[in-house]
Amino acid sequence: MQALGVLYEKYKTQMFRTALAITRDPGAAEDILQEGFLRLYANATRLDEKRSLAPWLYRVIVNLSYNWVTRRGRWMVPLEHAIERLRSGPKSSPEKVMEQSEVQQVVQEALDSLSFKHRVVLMLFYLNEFSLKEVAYILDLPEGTVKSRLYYGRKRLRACLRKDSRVLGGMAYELS
Amino acid sequence: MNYREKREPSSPDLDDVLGQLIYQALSAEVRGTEPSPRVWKNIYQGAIDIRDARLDKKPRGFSLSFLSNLLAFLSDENWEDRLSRQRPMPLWSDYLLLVA
Repeated sequence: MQALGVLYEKYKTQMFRTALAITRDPGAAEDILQEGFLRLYANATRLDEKRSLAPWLYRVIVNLSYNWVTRRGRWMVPLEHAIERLRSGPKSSPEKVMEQSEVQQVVQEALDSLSFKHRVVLMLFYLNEFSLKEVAYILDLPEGTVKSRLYYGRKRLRACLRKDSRVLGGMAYELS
Repeated sequence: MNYREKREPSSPDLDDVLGQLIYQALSAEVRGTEPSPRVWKNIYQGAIDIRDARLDKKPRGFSLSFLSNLLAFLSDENWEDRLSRQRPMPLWSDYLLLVA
């Protein structure tokens, strides 16, 4: 039990943020984190001690998040999240001001328009900074498939950003 | 040929810019977030439940390990000595006397 506590402290933040980035729902991300660690506890004796735990845990978290998204039957920003954004009004700290920047919003919307399979590959590759091989293990896919999804994800994203008139001139120029 | 036309769509610089945009957009959504302490409490309680359920499932009384221990014990015993100690074998001569 003590070992579980140590592992939880080590991995809780990155696992929670991964689940949150996929589900966009803090409550769901907490439930997924909880389920992931209980699965770890239940399967502890079956895990290969020689291998790193992180990829296995990421695989569980991504799968649970995928199941949640599929059950909800949507891949859009939850309505309540959007309302909250509108209610919160202008944000003051420099960090939050940056979050609100138009380009970032456009990129977020473009990411939302991608299918789950493309978005999750981009997320693991860019946000979690995994290698193609690691992403392939987490998603249980051949490395070539990951590479191809990354390529098409970027391509679609570029197309979305090109179309959006809100993207700053210079940025749009570079992306075209 | 203008700047736009000169740039190769697949040039590494362009992917770097896009990669940075993706990273910024995704990290902005999760930056500074942490799970609430409630999550660990639930995990702790859930782990205790799993452990207790495992203890309840442990076989009581007869088990395969009991059987294998018994077999090991019996195979080590000298059967002839053991049986002769418990139930002395009648002599053939006694048997013949009974028949006659």
